[in-house]
Amino acid sequence: MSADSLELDLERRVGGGHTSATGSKSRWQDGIDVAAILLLAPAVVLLLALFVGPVAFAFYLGLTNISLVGPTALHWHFTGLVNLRKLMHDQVFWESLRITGIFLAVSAIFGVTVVGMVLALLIQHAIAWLRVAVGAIVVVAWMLPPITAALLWYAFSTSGGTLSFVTGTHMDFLNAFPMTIICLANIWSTAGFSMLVLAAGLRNVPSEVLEAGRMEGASKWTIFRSLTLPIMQPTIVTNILLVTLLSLANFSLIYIMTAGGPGNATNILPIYSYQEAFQFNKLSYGALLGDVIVIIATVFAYFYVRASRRTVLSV
Amino acid sequence: MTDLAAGSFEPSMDALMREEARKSPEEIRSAWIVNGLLALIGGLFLAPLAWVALASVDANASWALSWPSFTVSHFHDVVRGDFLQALLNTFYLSIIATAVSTVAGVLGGYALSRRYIPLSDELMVGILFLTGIPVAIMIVPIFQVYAQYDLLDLSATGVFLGVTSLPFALWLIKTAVDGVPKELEEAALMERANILQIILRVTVPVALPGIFAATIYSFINAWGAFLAPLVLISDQDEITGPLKIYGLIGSAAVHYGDIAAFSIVYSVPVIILYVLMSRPFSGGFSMGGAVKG
Repeated sequence: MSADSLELDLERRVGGGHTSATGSKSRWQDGIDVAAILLLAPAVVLLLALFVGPVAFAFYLGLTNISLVGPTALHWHFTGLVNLRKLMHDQVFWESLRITGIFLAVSAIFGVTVVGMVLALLIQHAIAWLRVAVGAIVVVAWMLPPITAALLWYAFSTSGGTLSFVTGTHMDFLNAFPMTIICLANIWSTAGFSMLVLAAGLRNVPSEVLEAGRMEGASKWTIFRSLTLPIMQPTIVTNILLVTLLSLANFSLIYIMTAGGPGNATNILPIYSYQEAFQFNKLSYGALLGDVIVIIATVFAYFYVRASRRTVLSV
Repeated sequence: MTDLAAGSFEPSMDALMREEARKSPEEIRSAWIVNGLLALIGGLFLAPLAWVALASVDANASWALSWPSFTVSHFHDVVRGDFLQALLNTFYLSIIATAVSTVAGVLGGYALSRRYIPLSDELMVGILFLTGIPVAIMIVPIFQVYAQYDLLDLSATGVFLGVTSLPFALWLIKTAVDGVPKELEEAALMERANILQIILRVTVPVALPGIFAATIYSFINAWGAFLAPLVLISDQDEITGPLKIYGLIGSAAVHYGDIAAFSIVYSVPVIILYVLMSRPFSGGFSMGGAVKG
């Protein structure tokens, strides 16, 4: 469509009707809005081709025998439920699922949220320079690219690193307590996000309500538990869901630090999927493991959308 | 309102005045506790950063935390040769990703905000949903498609990373366009401007803070990407900053000082962009998900 016909089109639709001048979103009754479709087309085509399409394709690939190299790299075919049956009997998969659950529960749902909340509360009451300084450090930790965060935590926790220097040992903490260290690293690199979200939520708690609580002689803890927390609940729920999704996507941090090891100690699902696909060349099994992550992410994303619709979108 | 600006911790004026009004010994004590605890947590967050700062200027750097024998040679090393090439590759990748998500995001965000689109509310919910889907799960199918069509290079990887930012960019830009007064566009229509002229000359300038936020989000997202380049880029001349660092960690003779210096050089642009994004436009955007204000 040429620019001229677009112009006519817009005039007919926007300039023509008086509803469009005032209505928040006008509905034109005279058929399909060609300009709108053309404007939306690049985004929709890209999202279908390189986002939604691949996810759907992964579900098909998971049920084939495709591999990275060898004869089945080119001549692969649908194998039905063979991979699924393998998955059901794969001890490493169940262990990986368990580790993923622990990682998300300990570091994202509990760790990041609590640390973010403590920081948001402290920062609200602290003196100005300390507030700015600590706020900046925590936000920088969040902004750092994953590779840098992983490098810093590797150097921090490996044998001879900062942690062994501080504790006066020569212990390789990353090797001795891999799960604890990656959970701490994830908390370190995500708490800034949580702090910003929860600090914004805290500012929205009406001060009159807290003042009323104080008048009644309630203790700080009681005010926090029975006034602040309930008012903050939607923000906290949204925060937990977002942080969980962020942590589930935090493949790089853990892969760079431990590559899933030692043994399978930190082998969360995204790492297991990557290694099956690109190190053991089993693309199809890697895709199937990816499908499990899709399903987990979908559950959290569903609740996230629901929470956002209620509190934010109000559609 | 969830504006996530870096400097937005200021308490309200009346809160400050209340604080001044009455300061019992108990409150002074609790102020000490609050500040002390915050300083302690700040110190814990600072600890992992200490190594990179010291090692980058230490001639005898290792994984150990030690007082440096000062040198700037590491920073000299990492702004030339294949270090510089890796930075330029990262920049090129990020520019492509940013261009893809910004152009498609502005056009699509405008249409979603202004034009009648059937099921547009459902479409917005779908877009919000996509913002939550991790990139890691698309990597096998994308690799398969790219390998089949011989697209395993820097540009195509940039396009893919742009698309992974697109849902959030669409969301931000649609929200920004919602805030542009319609009267401005109607005035432009009187001048017989066409729709692309209206978008570029009227809507985009007014909605710039939101669009700028989406642009920087896409850039930072591509700049930090590790998994996609790891899988999708095979040519050694095309490797990006994160792959360079990853290779250095695993190499036989680890140059600790160079790794530390290069991570700083590589990470600083992200911090600068974040500050740029959050300072002048605080409140105009939200970060890391569609926590709309």
